[in-house]
Amino acid sequence: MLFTFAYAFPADRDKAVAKIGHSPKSMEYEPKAFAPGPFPLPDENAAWRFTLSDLAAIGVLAALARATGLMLVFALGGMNPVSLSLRTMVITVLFIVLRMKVRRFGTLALAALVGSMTSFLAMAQGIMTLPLLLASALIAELFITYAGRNRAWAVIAGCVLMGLMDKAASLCVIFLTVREETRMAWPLAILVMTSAAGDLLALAFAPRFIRELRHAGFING
Amino acid sequence: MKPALAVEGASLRYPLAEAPSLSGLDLEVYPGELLVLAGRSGGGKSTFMRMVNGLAYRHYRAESSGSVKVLGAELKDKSLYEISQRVSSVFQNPEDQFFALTPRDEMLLSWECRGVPESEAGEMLERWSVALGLKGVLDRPLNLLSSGEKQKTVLASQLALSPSVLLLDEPSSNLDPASRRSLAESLAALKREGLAVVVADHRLRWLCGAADRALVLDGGKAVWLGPFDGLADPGLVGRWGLRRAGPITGCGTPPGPAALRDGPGRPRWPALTASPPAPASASAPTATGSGAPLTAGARQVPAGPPPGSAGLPTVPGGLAPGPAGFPPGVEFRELGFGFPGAAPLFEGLSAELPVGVPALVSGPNGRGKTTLMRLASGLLSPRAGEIRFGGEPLNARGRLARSSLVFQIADRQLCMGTVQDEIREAWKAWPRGSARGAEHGKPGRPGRPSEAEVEGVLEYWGLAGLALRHPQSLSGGEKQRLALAAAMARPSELLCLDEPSTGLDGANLALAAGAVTAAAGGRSVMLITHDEDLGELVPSFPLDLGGEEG
Amino acid sequence: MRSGSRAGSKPDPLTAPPADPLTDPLTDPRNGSPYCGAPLKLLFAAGASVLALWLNSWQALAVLALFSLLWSSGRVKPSLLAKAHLFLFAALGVCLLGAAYIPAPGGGMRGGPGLSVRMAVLPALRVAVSMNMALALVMSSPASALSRFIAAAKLPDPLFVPLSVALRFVAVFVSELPQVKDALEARTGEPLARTALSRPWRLWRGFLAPMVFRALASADSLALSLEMKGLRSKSLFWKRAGAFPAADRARLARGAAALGLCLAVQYREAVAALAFRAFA
Repeated sequence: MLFTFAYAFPADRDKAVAKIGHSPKSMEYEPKAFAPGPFPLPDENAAWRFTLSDLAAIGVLAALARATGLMLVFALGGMNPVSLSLRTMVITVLFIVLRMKVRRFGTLALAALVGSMTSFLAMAQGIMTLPLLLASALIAELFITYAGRNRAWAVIAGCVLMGLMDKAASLCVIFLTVREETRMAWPLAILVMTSAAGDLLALAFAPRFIRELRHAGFING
Repeated sequence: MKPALAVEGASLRYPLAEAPSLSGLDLEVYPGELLVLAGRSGGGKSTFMRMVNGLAYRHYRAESSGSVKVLGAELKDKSLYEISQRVSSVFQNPEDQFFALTPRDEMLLSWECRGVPESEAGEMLERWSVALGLKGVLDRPLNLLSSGEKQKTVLASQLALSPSVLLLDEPSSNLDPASRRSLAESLAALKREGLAVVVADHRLRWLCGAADRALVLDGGKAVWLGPFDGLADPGLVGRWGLRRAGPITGCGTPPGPAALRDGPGRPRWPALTASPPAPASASAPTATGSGAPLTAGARQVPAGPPPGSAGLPTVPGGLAPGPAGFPPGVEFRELGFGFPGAAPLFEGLSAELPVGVPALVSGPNGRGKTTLMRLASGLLSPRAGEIRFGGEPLNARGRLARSSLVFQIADRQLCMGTVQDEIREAWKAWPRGSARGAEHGKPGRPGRPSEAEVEGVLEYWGLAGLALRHPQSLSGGEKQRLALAAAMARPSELLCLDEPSTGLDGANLALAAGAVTAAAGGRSVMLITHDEDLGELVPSFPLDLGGEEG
Repeated sequence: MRSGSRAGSKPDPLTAPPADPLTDPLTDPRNGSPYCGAPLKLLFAAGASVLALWLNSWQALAVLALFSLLWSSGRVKPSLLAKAHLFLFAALGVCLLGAAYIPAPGGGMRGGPGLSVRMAVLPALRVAVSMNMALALVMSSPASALSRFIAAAKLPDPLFVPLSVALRFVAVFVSELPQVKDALEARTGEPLARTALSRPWRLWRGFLAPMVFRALASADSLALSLEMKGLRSKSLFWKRAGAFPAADRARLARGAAALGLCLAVQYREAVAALAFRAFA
């Protein structure tokens, strides 16, 4: 039951929109009368449903993660330690920011799914680690919601944990790819572990950044 | 005739605000009328828009009293979806209203959400894209559309559904003059169809000919309501901090003193004395026509340059009128540049940005004004030719260290945690061996500005009480002023300004114009702007990149 | 144009060819089918990647790699394809060199030519397959085709909205990030790469913080505008000519046959035994 992401919008989709009931009349203006579009989205949502602003935030931050990754690759190169760790740090911090903004159970898993699918649709990458990534996101969510009660320290720890588990998932996929000659995995594993350093960097930067976002009014205390 | 929009005794107060943002507003807007909302920043224009399109109640949870009715139906108890069926809004940044990637998809999606049957959508698309001039760009992706095209797409996707009221919040802010004219024509045409249009904007000239009435809001109250032509009254302009409503020629209002750039060939400007040119103050002839000071309300435009803005000592020896008398600041010699894969933008361009008077770079959109700015400041390197600062050819790194820029969108430049940190961080940076370094006793080493110095800068720009606020929590005009303040606090030999007057009301525009003029006293200033109001206030040397002569 | 359109009928404004020179005719969604085969490319990319991980015979992998090369050669510029392969082999070469000096499991140093290059070909082929399918997708499916596919794919709303929003914003951010980079370079007075190496914390302040603020502000405005639009998924307008037009159905059949052939090569003994039993 915990893991069903209930649809954001109510099951009683037969509710029709009340018309305002007037058509504008003026000297020449005669508007066309269209039937109202079905199933408009409600303004109020139950506490456990995702609102439109939650979904928009998830989408926008996923896009920012991908775009920043691309930009860092162009600016700093793809395979050097600075670029790798910065990219991971950015992604982890964006997950933290998102989870602080959208405090619902399942946000991280949805964001991970959306992020992987965006990568896949735009670059056909990242689909192999998806199942393990989703599992790690759910573990992180359980930790944040039940062990940490949605506090800032729990969100930071949970997202860093998710990042590290994601690196482990990448290592699994790498070993599967080079299973005939496992020694080839070692250089790639070193790259993955360098990028995992970015998760630890996120531990350093995230608290300050969250404080600043609160100060700017983007996140509620 | 029933009014399309009827506001009676409306008051609005945001949560956690002490004073109401709107109080006791009574207004009726009839179909076929275009009403302009004018007034100082923070006067309540945006709040009015939010009240009418329902965001104030639904999203901002403001307390309200009084009634707002569209064609007799009260708006307060309706959902956003229902309200937007009758009231269309175009936000300040129309890009934020796009869900799809191309204008075609965006329009089709919006119409489908409202139940437009598929059979009609094709014909509607055809009609509206022809009517608004979007025919050629229907499949262009979002990041390649111009601001005007994005705005037109949002207009088409909403207007095809026959709303009664159209709200536009600062629609002219990112448009060039041609797009503004086109938008004004479209609004006039829509008005004739029977739509009631409300436009809130600082820039008033472009609405000349399209607007019927104007309402001035100040401190949340309606202080003046009358025909649009009445806004040309300089007393009104000065009292409520507006920008000029009449253009230099036409629109039924007498032109001000000889425009600084009219007539063929060289411009004429007032004779300059040995001291640096004074900022726009009571004694200088200004664009208000009667010589009245550009003061607004309680705050006077300060005389003298903003503190910390003079990077280098004033050029001695007096300044004679005419560009030949100005020492060369930044020189382009046989400059050649083009982006890879595209036609070259500049070939053999030779020009000069003098010290002592700002250079106004003009040219049609896409001509390369921003690229020239990036070349001059060292963000790009030219393919051919050289760029000299004070006679010394510099590479990109050298130019970057000695330049200070204000980009088109202030948001992207504000990155510190508090307003005072922004000023401090800009103040600390200077090129090695400059006068500022000597001033602080250790040439080439950064030093912190004192509290008083930072306060002085904030005071000048009207940001005094905001020192500890986060820059992102400021309003648009405040962010713009902060970006200008930071750029001018940084000592540099070249100051580049790209559309610095976006979002500034009349008083702040005068302030910015004064600061720009004063900043030119000791350095080269490169000014790129489509804003005629700013162009009138700043005596400038024209650098026209124009279509043919390059 | 579309299969099934009546000859001589008025061109449908919804699917008429664009007049815009900025839209590349090769990638335009209205050439061929309205979807430009996006769902098909995604299906093949996923299928080929999974299959490449599954297969462990070099002959089967070679066949799969050949098919992926054929698939991408029709959709990607040859120069780009050549560069990508060159990069791939260089990267794998570096991995090999690095791996050669790692002790083999089971003890002892087996550096240098002791490494089994034949075994190293298999990972190379796997990565080549993924890379070819990725390039084919990226280079020939414009983002608008992908977003239409998502809109017509009947995804649940909590997935459809963020995914569409993400696709729409990626391009916008990529085009805006250079402006933020410019602002940072103007502030620090040095190129971004130098700042990243000497003072990486300034990257955070000057580069990422403004973008995060911009993203959050945009998300809020977009959400409001979506609410005013009354957005829902399961869009009808983009389900034209069905999700799988005839041309794509033929390609699907051919692609499935190609993947089946790879599996057959992998399990050739079993296939041969079955055939022998069937015909003998």
